Amino acid sequence: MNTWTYIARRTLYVIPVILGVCFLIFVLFNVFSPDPAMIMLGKHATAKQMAELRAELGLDKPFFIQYLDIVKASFTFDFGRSWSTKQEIFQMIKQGAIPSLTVTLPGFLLSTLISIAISLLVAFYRGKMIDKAVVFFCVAGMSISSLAYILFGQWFFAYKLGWFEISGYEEGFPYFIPYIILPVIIWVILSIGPDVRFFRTIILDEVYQDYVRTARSKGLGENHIMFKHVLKNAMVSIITYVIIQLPFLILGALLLESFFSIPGLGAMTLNAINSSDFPVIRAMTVLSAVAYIIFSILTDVLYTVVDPRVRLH
Amino acid sequence: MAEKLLEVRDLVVKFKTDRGLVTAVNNVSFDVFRGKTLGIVGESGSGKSVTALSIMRLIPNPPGQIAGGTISFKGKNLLDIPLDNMRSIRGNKIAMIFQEPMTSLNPVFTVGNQIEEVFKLHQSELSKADRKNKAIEMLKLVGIPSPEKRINEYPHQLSGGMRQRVMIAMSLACQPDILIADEPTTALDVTIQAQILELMKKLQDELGMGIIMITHDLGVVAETCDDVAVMYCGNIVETADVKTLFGHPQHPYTKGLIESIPSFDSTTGIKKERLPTIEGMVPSLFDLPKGCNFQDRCKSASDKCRGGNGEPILAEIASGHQVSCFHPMNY
Ligand SMILES: Nc1ncnc2c1ncn2[C@@H]1O[C@H](COP(=O)(O)OP(=O)(O)O)[C@@H](O)[C@H]1O
Ligand SMILES: [Mg+2]
Repeated sequence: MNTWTYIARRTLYVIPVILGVCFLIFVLFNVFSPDPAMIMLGKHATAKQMAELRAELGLDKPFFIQYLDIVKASFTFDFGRSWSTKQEIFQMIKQGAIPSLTVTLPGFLLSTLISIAISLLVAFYRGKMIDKAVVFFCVAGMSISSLAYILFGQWFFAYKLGWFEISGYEEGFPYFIPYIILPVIIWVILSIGPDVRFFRTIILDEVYQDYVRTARSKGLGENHIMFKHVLKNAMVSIITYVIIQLPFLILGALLLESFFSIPGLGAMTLNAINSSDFPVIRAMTVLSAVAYIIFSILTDVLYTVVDPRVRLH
Repeated sequence: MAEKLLEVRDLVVKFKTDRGLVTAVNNVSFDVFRGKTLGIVGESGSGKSVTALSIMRLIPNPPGQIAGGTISFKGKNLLDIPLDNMRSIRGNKIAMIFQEPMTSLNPVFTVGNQIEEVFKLHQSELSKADRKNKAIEMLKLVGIPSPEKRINEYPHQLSGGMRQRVMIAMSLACQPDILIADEPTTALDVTIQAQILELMKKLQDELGMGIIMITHDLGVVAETCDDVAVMYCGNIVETADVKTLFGHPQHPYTKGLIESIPSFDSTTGIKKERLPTIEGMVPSLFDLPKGCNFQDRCKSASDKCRGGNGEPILAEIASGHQVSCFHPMNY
C-alpha cells in the first residue's frame, strides 16, 4: 500500500481515539474526583460562592454538554484558560514547549547515540570484563533515585564547583545554553542505564543469529558484521523503543524542569497537578494522547524503511 | 589421482559447558580431493557441524576450542595462520552453506547485496557494475529464473529452495576450492532436495571444487559422494569409498544406517516408512561408556567391547577402508 494512503488512514483513527481519551478524562475528572469548586475555594466557602464558581467553570452544565466541550477543545486545541493563572492554555503550551525541548531534545539525542555506541561495544566484547562492568554500572546507576542525581549535581557541580547554573532559564539562543547543560547531563546519565541494557539485549539477540555465521563464513570482519549486518537488524527494535519516547520529549521533563526552574511543560504540568488546575491537566493529557498516536504512525512507516518484511496494511 | 586439497589430521574439538568439558570431535582425520565429494554422515550430535566449522575456524570460542590436530589446506595448516589470512580464505577458497536456508541469509539486505558483498571483499578490483553483473551471473548459474529481478528481492520473498540456491550462488561466487555443505537439503522437501543435490553435482563438474557433504541421510551419500566417513560420538568409526561402504559395511553402526535408508516406491515415488533398525539412543557426551561408544546399541557387543580394552581404534582392514570395531563384520 502507498505510504501516504496509510498515513491518511491511520490519521483518521486519531478521531475515535481522542473521543475515547476525552471520555476517560471526563469520567476521571468530573465524576470521580472531588468537586473542583470546593478545592479552589476551600471548605469554608458558602454555597452561593460555590455555585457561582461552578457556573463560571461550566460545571453546572449537563454532563453530556461538558463532555462535548472537552471534545471540542481537543479538536480545536482551544483548551480555555487555566484556573490558577487565568492565562490561555494554548498560549501557555506554546510558551512552555520551547524551554522543554531545549532540555529534552539534546538529552534524548545524546543519550540515544551514546547508548547505541556503548551497546555495540559491549556486544562486541560480550562476556568479557568490559561487558560485565558496563552491565554492573547500568544496574547500579538505575537503582539510585533520580532525585539523588539532581540534588547531587546541583550541590556539587553547580554550587560547590560553580561549573554550571544551579537553576533558572533565559529565553532565546544561545542564552539558554548555560542553564540546560547540567539538566541535559543528568538526563543522559539517567537514560543510559535502561537504554544500554535494552539495546545490549537486542544486539546480543542478533549476534547469535544464523545470518551472522553466514557473514563470517563469507570472510567478513567482526566490525563490518557489527555495523552492517547486526546493527540494521537491531534497528528494527531500537526504532520502536526510541520513537515511543518522543511524545514524552514534548511533554517535558517533570522533575528536571521543576528542580532547575525551567519554565517548560513539565514544570507547568507539575504545578497544575499541585494546584488541581484541571483544564491544564486535561490539555496535557489530550496532547500526550495525540502525540503518542502520531509517533506510533511514524514508527510504523519507519519500520518499512528498515525492515523489508514489513508491509503497511 | 586428483589433487589433495584438504588434509585433516587428528582433529580434537572440545567445549566447555556447565556440566564439564566435552569432546565433540575426537581424533578425526580425512582428506578432500579436487572434484571429489567426501560425505560425513552420522546421527544428530555426532560432531559433523563442529568438524565443518573447525575447518572454517568458526567454532565459537568460548565455549569451544580446537584442542589438537592439523587442518592443512593445500599444504598450509589453517590452525596456524593469523585470523586475517583465514578471513581471506573464507568465502574465497573455502566456502560453506548451512542447514537453515530460511535464516542463513540476512533478512534486511537484498539477495544481490549479499552476493555482491563477497565480490567486494575478495575481488575488490571489480567495479560496482561488474559486481552486479557477476551476481546476476551467479544467480543464473544456480538456476534462479529472471535473476535481474531477483537480485533486488529480499530473502523473505523467496522459497526455502530458492534461498538455498542463493546460498550456493554466494558460496561459489569466488569459485572456491572447497565447498562445505552442512546438511544443505535437510530442511527442504524431497523434490527440492533432489534438485539442489543435482545442482551441486552439476556445479562441481563445471567448477571442479572438492565438496564436503555433511548429512545424516545415507541416501544423500549414495547419490552424491565418492568417499564417506561415518561419525559416531565425535569419532570416525568407519571410512571407505562409497561402493565399498555400501557393499561391505564393517561397522555394525554403518550397517544399521544402511538398513534404515528409507526405500522409495519406484512407481509412486513416495518415501516408504523408515525402519528403525538401530535401537536405543546416542549416549550423552558427558557420560560415554567405557570401551566402545556403540556397545549399548550393538547386537554383537561382547565383553571385549564393554571392558577394559579401551576404545576400539580406527584401523585399515583393506586398502582405503578403515573401521574402528572389535568385531568387524569381515568381507
Ligand atoms: N556451541 C556449543 N556449545 C556447547 N557444546 C556444543 C556446541 N556446539 C556443539 N556442541 C557439542 O558438540 C556436539 C556435536 O555437535 P554438532 O557437531 O553440531 O552435531 P551434528 O553432528 O548434529 O552436526 C553436540 O552434541 C554438543 O555436545
Ligand atoms: Mg549439524
